[in-house]
Amino acid sequence: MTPLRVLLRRLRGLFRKRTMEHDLDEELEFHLQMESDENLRQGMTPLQARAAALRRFGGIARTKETYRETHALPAIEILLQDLRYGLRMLRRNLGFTAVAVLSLALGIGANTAIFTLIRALILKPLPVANPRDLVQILQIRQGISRGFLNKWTYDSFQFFRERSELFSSVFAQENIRFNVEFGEQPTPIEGVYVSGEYFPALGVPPLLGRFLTSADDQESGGPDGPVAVISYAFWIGRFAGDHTILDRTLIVEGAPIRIVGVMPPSFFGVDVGKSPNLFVPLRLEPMLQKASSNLHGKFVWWLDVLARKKTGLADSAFRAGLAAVWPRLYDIFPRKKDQPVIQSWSVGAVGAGNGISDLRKQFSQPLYILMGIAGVVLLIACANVANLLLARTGARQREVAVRMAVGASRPRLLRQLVTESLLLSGMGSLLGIAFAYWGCRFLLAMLSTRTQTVALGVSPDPWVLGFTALVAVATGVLFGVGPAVRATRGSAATSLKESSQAVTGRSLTANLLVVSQVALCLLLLIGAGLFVRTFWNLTNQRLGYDQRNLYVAQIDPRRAGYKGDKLIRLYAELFESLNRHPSVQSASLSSNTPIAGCCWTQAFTVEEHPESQSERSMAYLNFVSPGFFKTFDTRLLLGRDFNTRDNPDAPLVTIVSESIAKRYFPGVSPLGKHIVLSKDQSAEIVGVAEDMRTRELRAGTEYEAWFDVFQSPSAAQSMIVEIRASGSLGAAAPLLREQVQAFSKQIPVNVDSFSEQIDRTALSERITAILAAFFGSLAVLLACIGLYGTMSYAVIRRTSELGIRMALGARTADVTWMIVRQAIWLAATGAMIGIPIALLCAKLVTSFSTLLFGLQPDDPPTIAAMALLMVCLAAMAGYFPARRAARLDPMKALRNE
Amino acid sequence: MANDKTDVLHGSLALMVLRTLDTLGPQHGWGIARRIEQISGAVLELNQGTLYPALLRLEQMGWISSKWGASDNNRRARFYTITRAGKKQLAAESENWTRISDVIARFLKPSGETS
Repeated sequence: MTPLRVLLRRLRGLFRKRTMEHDLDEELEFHLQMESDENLRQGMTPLQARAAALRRFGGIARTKETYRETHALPAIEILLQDLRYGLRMLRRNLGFTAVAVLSLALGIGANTAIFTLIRALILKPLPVANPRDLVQILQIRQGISRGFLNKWTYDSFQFFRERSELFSSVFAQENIRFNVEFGEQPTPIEGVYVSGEYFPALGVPPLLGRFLTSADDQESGGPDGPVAVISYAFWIGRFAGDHTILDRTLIVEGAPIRIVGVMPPSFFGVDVGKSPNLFVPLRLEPMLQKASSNLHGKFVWWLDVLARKKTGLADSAFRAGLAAVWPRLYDIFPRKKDQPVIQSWSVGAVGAGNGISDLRKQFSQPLYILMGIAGVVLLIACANVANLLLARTGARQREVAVRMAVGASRPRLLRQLVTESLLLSGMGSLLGIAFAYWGCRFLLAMLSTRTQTVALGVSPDPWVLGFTALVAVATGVLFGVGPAVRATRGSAATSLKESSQAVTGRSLTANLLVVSQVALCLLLLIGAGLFVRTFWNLTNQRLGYDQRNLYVAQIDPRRAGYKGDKLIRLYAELFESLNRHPSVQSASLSSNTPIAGCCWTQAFTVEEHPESQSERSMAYLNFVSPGFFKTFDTRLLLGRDFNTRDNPDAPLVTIVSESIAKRYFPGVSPLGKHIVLSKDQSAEIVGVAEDMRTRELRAGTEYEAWFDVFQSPSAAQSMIVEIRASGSLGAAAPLLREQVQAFSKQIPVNVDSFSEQIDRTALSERITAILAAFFGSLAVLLACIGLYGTMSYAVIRRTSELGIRMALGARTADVTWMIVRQAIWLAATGAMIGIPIALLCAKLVTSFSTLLFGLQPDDPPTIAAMALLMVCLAAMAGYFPARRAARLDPMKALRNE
Repeated sequence: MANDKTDVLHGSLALMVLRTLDTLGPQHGWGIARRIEQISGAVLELNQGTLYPALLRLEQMGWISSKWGASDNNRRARFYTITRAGKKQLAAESENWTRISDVIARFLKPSGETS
């Protein structure tokens, strides 16, 4: 323990410096006194005695220095000294300090903010027991619907639950919005259906009461009846943290459910970005969702299935076991002989220790790109600060020279200068963390929509702070070392002799810095331009419909007991009454709507086209009322809309999309031809409609077939009602609700704006565009500051030269142009370097072009426009110093030397 | 040997200080220096200044403690006292030292004597 004790004593020594010095002086003086007294006694004169004592002692100053070094920790003492000195220097140059710290804070803040989001969304493990063992079970599909499917039917979940040779526990969940009655109106509350194993498997103890177990997961409830657990936020927000919450009953979807527990604040389940407030046992689903229940649906893929791998099971054995599962799983479905492709599918598992998240799928790629952009912004900020430091080096040359002359070693001076840089980057990162905190709040607010709040923990945690510290040190070294080395170069004598003459080398370095700033800045501008245009292209393309002034609501009258004939009659009457309403331009019903209400796919063939038999293309099917195309403002290219003569007794008719018509009937009219969905079901084509973007905004050709819902009444289950009406959502929502609830108050109606639904799917593009534009502007601002600084310095340096020119007759305009021309030249050089880099980046980052839409990464107009913008801004940054130069009084300028 | 006076061996100064304090009781720095010089005769030349950082190090190790008091001629002086840990250290080090010097002595014995 001795070394520790020594360390502690030395640390204490740091704070007892003054006492130490005083004591040491006194002690040494005492020693010398004793020694010279002794010498006196031996017959020396007082002077001789003192001198002999000093000789004997051997160097007071050296002893003191050794003593001091031993007394405390010299490294720390020097650091403290450097920091004190650095702070003093920064305080003396407030303008410089403010610009440098602000530049760094913006750069570091941008990086910290993006890293915080990446950490929260992608890297952070779930706050549950042993998150590393969690896996999500996926279907791996081949063929037409190639890819991963992460949803399962309830039967397949049951099947996995019995695979105890692979899993120690398996649980299922599905996010849903519950209608919970608070007073009159049902309020939509974010919630989740969870199987009985969910809470025991996650292993997070409840804050109050108990969590749900398998005993609760029974149809119509377990021993305690239908029960649920609520979130902490819900408990505080809705019930003001009332401790009598347990055993309170909520009316959920019309059924009473008792609250038995409250989860702790950190618990949000397994879906990152979601914050469910109500956890309900999965098997209560039929009771709550009534006729629209999915639980017993043989082909309803709706559940997320997660599991914990059996402990001790080797990875290879686990993979092999999973692969063997599919044929047995497939056995539980009725075989469809005509779908051999299904046999080639299989089961896989991916780690779910960081949770599952749609938000992550949507945003991880843009976030990584933005991280790169933020990194470049920081580089530009570094170049700025390095430039400022270089400018200051000129001013400090004399100081450095004096210090070297009185004996400071070069490493010691370097350390001092780098400490100052680190001090700057440290201050910058403190401010940056504050910026990042606000930035993250702002970004989350942007991510959240009216109907969906994104909940991510973005408070700075040790990882984020560590990241920021690392960035701060790296930047401090990056921008600090160069200027420091430069400042301490050369002998003291030459520096002292020269005044401010040795500046050519410096201005070259400064120009290089500015040129690279411009190049990097242009890179970001081009990126921002591409993202902004992508968003523009995406939201301003013809989607095959007009999303404005369209309001939609999914309704399910079966919840209010409507079935069969009664149900289809309700839809018919609703359709009539809505279309009669004076403020509704057009109204219709459909089983799906594009994008958010998507999709129902089925294989089809064309009777008159033999090749289509082997092709078996997939089409989106949609059962709609007459007037659907009018309501969506989709053009009917050929034929007619559905009408009242298309009743169940008439031959089945269909309207197909332009893509189907072009593919199977090139040059011929498809009218009167037939498409076949199954052996005994074919439909005559009576119309061709413009392609509608159905699954996503970026998709290309769309095979789609529309049927009349009144001709196929069995397809009328829950339907989407859509109305085109001028006016806002605020006006349309009550209208629609009133019309639907005229039939029954029991039918929940949540009205949404269709254009908002579309915007929501372009959210990642929107945010990428906004952030890229923001970072781009930031970069431009920083680069212009750099350019401005360099030009100002150049003007000062050339004062006498300018004076001579003006004395010889140069006009104001000439001088201005001379300086501006230099700025333009620097920017143009930067652009010449930046454009190839941008093209190279576009080539190297192949994923980049998948983020774009409607243009290529080497889009010439974008590149040209941004380069021009950069040069113009550079000219402006050069103009102000140029104007100052032009206003010089030649006499004063000449006397300046 | 070129120098007829030997530098104080590294580490041995600590041992000498501890030994001095153990024998004489509390002492000030000058007293310790005098004692070491007297015992060594004129063989060791102590640069008296080096004593003080050594004393500080010993104090940091917890082997000695110091207190301000009055000297014989009534001046204010800092007195050093050996601590219990210091005594233990002294015992261990002395034994160590004896062993090593025995070994060295055996090496340096004129070879003729053994044969």
